[in-house]
Amino acid sequence: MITCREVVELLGDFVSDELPPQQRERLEQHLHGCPPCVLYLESYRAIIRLPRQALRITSLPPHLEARLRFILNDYLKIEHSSQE
Amino acid sequence: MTPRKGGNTVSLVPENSERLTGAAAPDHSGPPLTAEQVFREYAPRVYNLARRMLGDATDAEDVTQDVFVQVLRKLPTFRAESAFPTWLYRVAVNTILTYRRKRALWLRQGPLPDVLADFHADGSHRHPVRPWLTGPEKAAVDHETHRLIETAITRLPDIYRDVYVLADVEELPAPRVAELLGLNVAAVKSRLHRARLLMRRALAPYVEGSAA
Repeated sequence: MITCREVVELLGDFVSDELPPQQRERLEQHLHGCPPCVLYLESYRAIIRLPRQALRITSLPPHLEARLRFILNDYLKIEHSSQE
Repeated sequence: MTPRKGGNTVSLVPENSERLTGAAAPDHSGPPLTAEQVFREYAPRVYNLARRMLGDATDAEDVTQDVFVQVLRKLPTFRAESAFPTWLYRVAVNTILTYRRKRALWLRQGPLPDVLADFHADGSHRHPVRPWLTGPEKAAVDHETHRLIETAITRLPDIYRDVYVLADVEELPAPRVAELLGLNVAAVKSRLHRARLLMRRALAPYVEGSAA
């Protein structure tokens, strides 16, 4: 029987379905008899899910946007003049 | 500045683009890429990536400008949007890592925390494990959850944060993360697992319900 600590060490490979069948079976057997590890597994899955659900692209800060716009305009001027 | 359709995704890849593959070299298929597009669609994504990997908004601004200049210089020879995100990741991550080395930002790194300290010697849980109150609906709209996650990412040790941001925030596959960071895949998986355990530990006090 593997310990709770060993279960936690294997969770990364378990959730990505990369555990060898025998190890997977031992881990699943442990989960059947260990409610705390089931909760731990659920929270581990939440940690993977959360950034994908909760994080968003934030806009550029206005001063950085202005700096990049200045560089862009310079670039477009050069590009335009080289096409003439 | 309004990113185009798909602008709410976190990764450098707009939602409607194909996922990143192992291909790294620019090619000449697909629609041409314009400088304006790079500015509107990709600069905010680079800024977000740099802010999360460096943990500092001012540092991220310097890096974003540097990447933007590098990209514009290459743009005349790079006109295929389809391969652009793959190449952009390489430029952005290299610039971020170089910036951190130059600024000796690694020096602020303390000893790495023991992520498995929450267990007794016999391998059992040291503390009660409680259910998490993180339904999909809550996470999607909760500004506080967003702030907590961003703060927890900032507090990760650098070697874990790099992998976590690229793998779990940007959703790049482990082999691609390994290539970008100059690591082997096993090291990426090991660091990612430790990063997740630290993220779990950091967020647990805010999202745990009562003990089962």
